[in-house]
Amino acid sequence: MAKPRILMFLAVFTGGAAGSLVREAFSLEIPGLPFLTATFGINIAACFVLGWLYSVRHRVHAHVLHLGAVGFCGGLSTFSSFVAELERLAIGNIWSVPAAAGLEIAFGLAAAVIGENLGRRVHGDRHRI
Amino acid sequence: MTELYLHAMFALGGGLGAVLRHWLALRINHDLPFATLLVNVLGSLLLGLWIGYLGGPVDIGEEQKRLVFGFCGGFTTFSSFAYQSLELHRERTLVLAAGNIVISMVLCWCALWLGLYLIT
Repeated sequence: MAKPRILMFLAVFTGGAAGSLVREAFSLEIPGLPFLTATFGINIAACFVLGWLYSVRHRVHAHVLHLGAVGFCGGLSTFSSFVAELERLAIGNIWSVPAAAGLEIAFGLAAAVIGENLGRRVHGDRHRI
Repeated sequence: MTELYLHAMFALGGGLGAVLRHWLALRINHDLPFATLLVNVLGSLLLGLWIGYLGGPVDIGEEQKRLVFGFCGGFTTFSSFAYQSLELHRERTLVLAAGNIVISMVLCWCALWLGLYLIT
């Protein structure tokens, strides 16, 4: 019982570390776009990957989900920096905050749905969401 | 101190954050996404404290900065928050999904502010 648990946490750790490295490399402020946070791209990408992984969750080993969904997507995306970025945007223009938050959440939800649908299409499951 | 070492510290923080997030999620076994809400609020509070702390007269190494920034990002999650909101809409109600989004935003914003306020 202890060994699968260690493997599970090892998978989560490895995925989290890898996702964090990608986040560090691609957290970029976009000059001239006050309604986009620096976390926009990575958070949307993480939602897409998570949606894709969930579309195949019944077909893959649990550790693949621990590595990819819990670890990598969780490490790649960030809520704390997203909120801190909104705080930074609020200093420039308070109306950027609801615009940036709304855009990022809407795109995140859409990316998860697109990832899930594409995953089902690619892997042969035609159930509609 | 090489750049590679600093990246490794960021990754270490992210990996540890992810492990703690998953451990808490296993402990808080609920059909509503309280575990994600809790980690996002706690992570935002920690980030607020850390940003406030770094804004003061402190002499702190780059590796500690990277470790904590990596931890906050690895501990909190936007992707699970979005996916769980989607699941709430599909399996429960739109009101619950919208509630999860609004409550997460408000509480995390307040937690970040509280962290900044407490340290400055």
